[in-house]
Parts: sequence; structure tokens; C-alpha cells
Amino acid sequence: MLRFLALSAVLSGCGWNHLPGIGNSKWLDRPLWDPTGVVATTDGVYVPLPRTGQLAFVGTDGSASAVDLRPGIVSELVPAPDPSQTVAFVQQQGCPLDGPAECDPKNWVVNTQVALLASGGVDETVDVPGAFNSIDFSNDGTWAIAWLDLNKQAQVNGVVSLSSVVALDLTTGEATTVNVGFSAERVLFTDDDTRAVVLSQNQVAVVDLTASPPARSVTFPLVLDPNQTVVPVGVTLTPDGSHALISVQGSSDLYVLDLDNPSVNLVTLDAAPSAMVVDGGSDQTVITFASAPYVDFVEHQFFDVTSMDLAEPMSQILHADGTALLWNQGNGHTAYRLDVASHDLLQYRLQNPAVQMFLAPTEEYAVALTRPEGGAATGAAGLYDTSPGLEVLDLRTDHSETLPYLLEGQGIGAAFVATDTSLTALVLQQGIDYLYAMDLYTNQAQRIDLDAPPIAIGTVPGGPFYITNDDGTGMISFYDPQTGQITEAAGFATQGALNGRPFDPEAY
Amino acid sequence: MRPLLVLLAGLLATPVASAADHEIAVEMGTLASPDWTSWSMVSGPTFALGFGLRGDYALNDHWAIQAGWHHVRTGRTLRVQDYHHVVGQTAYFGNEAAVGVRYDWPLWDLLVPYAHVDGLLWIADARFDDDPYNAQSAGQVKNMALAGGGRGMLGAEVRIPRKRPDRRGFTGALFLEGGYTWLSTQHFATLGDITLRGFTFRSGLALVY
Repeated sequence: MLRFLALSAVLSGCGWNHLPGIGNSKWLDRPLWDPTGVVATTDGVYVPLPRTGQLAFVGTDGSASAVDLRPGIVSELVPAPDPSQTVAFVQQQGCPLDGPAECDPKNWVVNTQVALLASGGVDETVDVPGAFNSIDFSNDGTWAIAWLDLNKQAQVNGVVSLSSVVALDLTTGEATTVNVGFSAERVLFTDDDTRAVVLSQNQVAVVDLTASPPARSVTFPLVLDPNQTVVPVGVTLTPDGSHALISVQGSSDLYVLDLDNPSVNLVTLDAAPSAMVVDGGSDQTVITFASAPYVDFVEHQFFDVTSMDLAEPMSQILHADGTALLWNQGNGHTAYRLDVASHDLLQYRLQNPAVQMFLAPTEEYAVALTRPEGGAATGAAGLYDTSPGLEVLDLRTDHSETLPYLLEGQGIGAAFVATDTSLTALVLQQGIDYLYAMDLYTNQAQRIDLDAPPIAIGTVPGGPFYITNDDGTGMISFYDPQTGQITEAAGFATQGALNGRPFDPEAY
Repeated sequence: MRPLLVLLAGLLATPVASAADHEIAVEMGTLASPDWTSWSMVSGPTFALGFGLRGDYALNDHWAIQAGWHHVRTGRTLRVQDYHHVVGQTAYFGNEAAVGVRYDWPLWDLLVPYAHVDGLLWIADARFDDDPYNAQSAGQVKNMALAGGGRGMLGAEVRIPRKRPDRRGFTGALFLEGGYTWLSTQHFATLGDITLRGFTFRSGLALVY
């Protein structure tokens, strides 16, 4: 009998920690969390959980909690002007906002709510009529324009206006619908926050925020023939806010809109622009082209264009005070340091094509993450050609100095830590579970080990770095460069995961 | 587990006080519930398999006190479309302690139809794991929940070889039973809730003495 009892005890304990169902696959239509959609605030980071449509809040101390917005689901998460807050677009089923408060469930539609989140909870919510998934804030944070970006995955139902935006007065919570033109693409605010410039297909609208309620004050048509379609791709405002410069898809024309005395002027450039920045110090706009080896300068008084030749086309611009770094994403081996005021160019030669470029906050260095490009070369050149790399551009001198390094994995992101005596670049590599940290002043490097390979890096305002890791159930590492300490939070993407989504707008 | 084993040992050690038959049994079964549908990340079908032990202490020819333990376990490997690796592994472990009464209706010393009702204490663990082969992985989340409930079952057992109640000795039995289990909602702190209520079927082998 004792044998029987012992056998029973052994059998019942056998494999107790062995998980059942390994290999019995369940295919999910969405991941549990989105490691690239994280938004940081001063307290911690908000993490979208696409599987449940909710959010997790992960504090910098490694604590995690659920931000429960049920019965709604979060469609977008964007930073707010106040670094302690973030904004979530929440969709939920209900009666139409312009209809009765109670209605038959078969008449329900998906409504959008803008929720202001702080300290892991909901501060306030504003109902907005219609479907919106993007928001831009004025410089002082008192106004926001919500709009529907059709380039993002958008859930629409019922009758949806594709030509309206909503002006939100964040001090009163009032929402005003403004008709701006078909398919809004971008929104900018003038420096004094009295006007918002909304780019749409074929036209640009200026919304007067000082009117009560806010209203469209002027519309600039970008085309006179209604059969033509013009898609704006870039817009900048001059430092005094009097003019908007707009580039359009596939056109070498630059539209110059006079916002004070409404008129449109067309400036002809060397090609269709790919990047455009305004330099306040020299009061010029710098424009580069992916298809032509030129850089154009547009001065802001008469909008005359000056053009300079380059060795290769430059598709991207990084801009700091008075200095611009021109580079070509994915192709070419050349980058330029440009003094915008004097138009002085300094050329840098990269070993491999850059896929990402980062400018250090001190503007003394730039870091390029390069891709392998193949080739039949042997020796050191062959090794460079077949390896992902990191190249450091020294912007302090006029010697065009670059320092190339081979990486173990493709570089996918970088961040900088600057102190009085050091400037450290933190580099993330795909599939490699450590951060490569290099002091750019001394070239001293070290590895900072992580529990899982990193995916993205960012900064908590006034706090440590956060690194999202490649882990299915959620993993974020907070790295404090002052102490070298890493605080890790893991498993937070399982919050409420077993009960699924409250509802699915895609099936609605 | 230990109190149960002590109870079973006690049952075995008890001298036969009457002509009625005591019994110990090993069993396997299913617990169906519509809520497994919303927990499809844990269980594919709408039922979970389990196994257990139980003992009956006969009070007389018809009535017996019954106690048992049953273990339910299920889980799945989660993958995401267009994602290069496994998201994680889920698991659910339920441990049931049951105490109840059983009524036997012996027919020809061979076939014994019976009914029993039990009160249930249910202790469950839900687990979400980023690495199923590492019990200490950082991304492991494990929540415990308690539930109470009851169950009513109808069944029949076949005793082979047949055993007359007035004779001492051992015989074997094969049994099959079905009924309904009702449990209160299990609240897992961060992972979610599940309410297991549904039809239950069990079968097993018993030692009758």
C-alpha cells in the first residue's frame, strides 16, 4: 500500500512545471505589443497592446500597469506637448454623436474619443465627431488639430467627411469642425499660434484660431484644373510665419504662399524636392533632391533660388543651428556638412551606403549606420562591403574625417549621452542582445548587455533611455547613463491578453 | 495533495465495517465550458482534459462519502502572422478538491449505476511565458485564482469479476459518468477572467474492496 501511495505522489508531481500544449500553435492576428509605437512621458512609457486594443504603462522603476480604456480600443498613440502627458485616440461603439443618446445597437457606429493620459491614467477625454487618427499641437499646447490621415490604417464607418479637421481648444475642451479640403496631409502652426496651416490634396487652408469658433480664413488652391491632382509632400513656414513653402509630389515647382496677403507664387527648382529645411539664422530654406546632384537655397525676401552642384544626389537633411548635414538614404557613399549662411560644403566619403544618420546633440559628430552592399572586393574592402557598419563623422574639423567600424548586426538605431567630458553614442544592432556604447571623444567602447535584442531606443523626458526589446510578451529596459544601471520591465504585454479585444472595428 | 493522500490511505486502512463496498479510483475526463472560446489563446477546443484520483467510503449499501482530486491542464504556443518567431506560451493549470456524497444502486453485483454531488474548491494558475523552457524567464507572468462551485454526476460502473457485497476481497471496476460542473469566476490578476461552467465527462478504473 505504501508503494501505491508513493507511486501516486510521484505520478501527480511528474512534469509539474512542464508547460502543456507546446507546439499546439495559435496564430494571432496581431502582436501582443508594438515595440515601435511606444510614447515616453516623464513618469514612464505608454505601450500600445494591439491584441487587446488597450495600453500598458511602464514606469521608469520597472513597474507596469494596465491603462484600461474599455469598452474602447486605442487606435493611435501620439506625444502631447506637455512631456508628462500623451494622447490616445480611442474608438468605441455607440450611438452617433449627432444623434440621440440612446439608440438601437444595430444603429451603433464607431466613435472617436481623444484621451489625455498622465501618470498611467486618463486625465480627460474629448469626443470628436467623425473618424480621426492624427493630431498636431500648437507650440504653446493650447490648440490641437485632429485629422484623418488616410496614409495610416484607418477604421471608418458610416458617413465620414474626408475634407474636415477638428480644431480642439484644449483649455475649454471645445471641438470645432473646419472644412479644409479633401484628404488632409499635414498640419503646421505659426510661431505665434494664431493660425494653423492645413495641407490637403490640391489645396492649402489656413485656419484662424483667434476667431470664435475657429474658422478657415483663406484657401490656396494648388491647381486650377480640377482634373489635375497635386499631392503636397513637404511644407515649411518661414521664421516670421508670413509664408508657407510647399513642395509637391513629382514636381520641381515650389509653391510659396503669402499667408498675410493671400497670394501664390511658383518657384522653379532643379528637380522634385526630397528634403527641405528652414534655417532661421540665415533666413533661407535648404532643399535637396533624390534624383539630382544639387542643393538649392531659397532666400525668404524675394524667394530667389541659388543652386550648388554636389557629387551625388542627397535625399535627406539633418539640420542644426546654421549647419546642415546632407546625406543619401540607402544609396551613395557621400555626405556633406553644409554651412547654410556661407554655403560652404565639406564632403565626407562613407565606406558603405548609409541607411540611418544621427547628429549628436553637441553637433560635433554624426553617426551613420550603413548597410552591406555586396561586391567582389577582397581584403579590408571586401570585409566592409559584406558587413553592416557604423561610421563616425567628425564635424569639428575641415579634414573630412570618418571612422568606420564593422558591426555584428545591422544597425537599427542610435542615441547619444552628452556630459561635460564625454559624448557617448549608444548603437542598437538587429538581433544582437547588447548595446554598443562608444565615447566619441576617446573612441573607448563597451558593451551593455540586455536580456533580449533591442528594437528601438528613445529618451524618457528628463530621465533615462528606454530600449524596447525583441520579446513577445513585452520587455523594456531603462538605461541610466549616469549610474550605468539597467532597470527592466517584462511581461507587461500580457495585461488582460487572455480575454481579447472588447470589439473589433475591422469586423464592424 | 498530502491531505488527500492521507485520506485515501485512511480509507484503505479502514477495516470493513459493513458489507458495503469502498472504492478508490483513477480517472480521466473533460471539462467543457463556453468560456474556453474567449480563452482560445489557452485552449483550442472548448473543453480541457484532466486526470485525478478519488476515494469512496461506504456508509451502507447505498450511500458513500466521496472525496477526490482532479487536475486540468491546457496551453498553446502563440505565433503572430508575419512575425519571425514565437510570441510566447500560455498555460492553464486547475486543481480541484471535491467532497460529496454518492448513491449506489447495485444491479446483479455486476452493474452499479450511481449518482453523486460534490462541493468543489478550485485552485488555478494561469501562466504566460516568453520562454517555455525557462521557469525563471523575465517575461513570465503567473497569476493564481480561486473558485468555488459544485457538480452533479450520473454514472455506472461495471465490476469485473463480479463481487457479492457480503463477501470480502478486492475486485476491479470500469466506470463512465457524465454531469454538469458549475464554478464561480476565476479572476487572474493581470491576465484576465474565466468562468468555467459546462458538461463534464469522466471515465476510469476503480479498485473495489
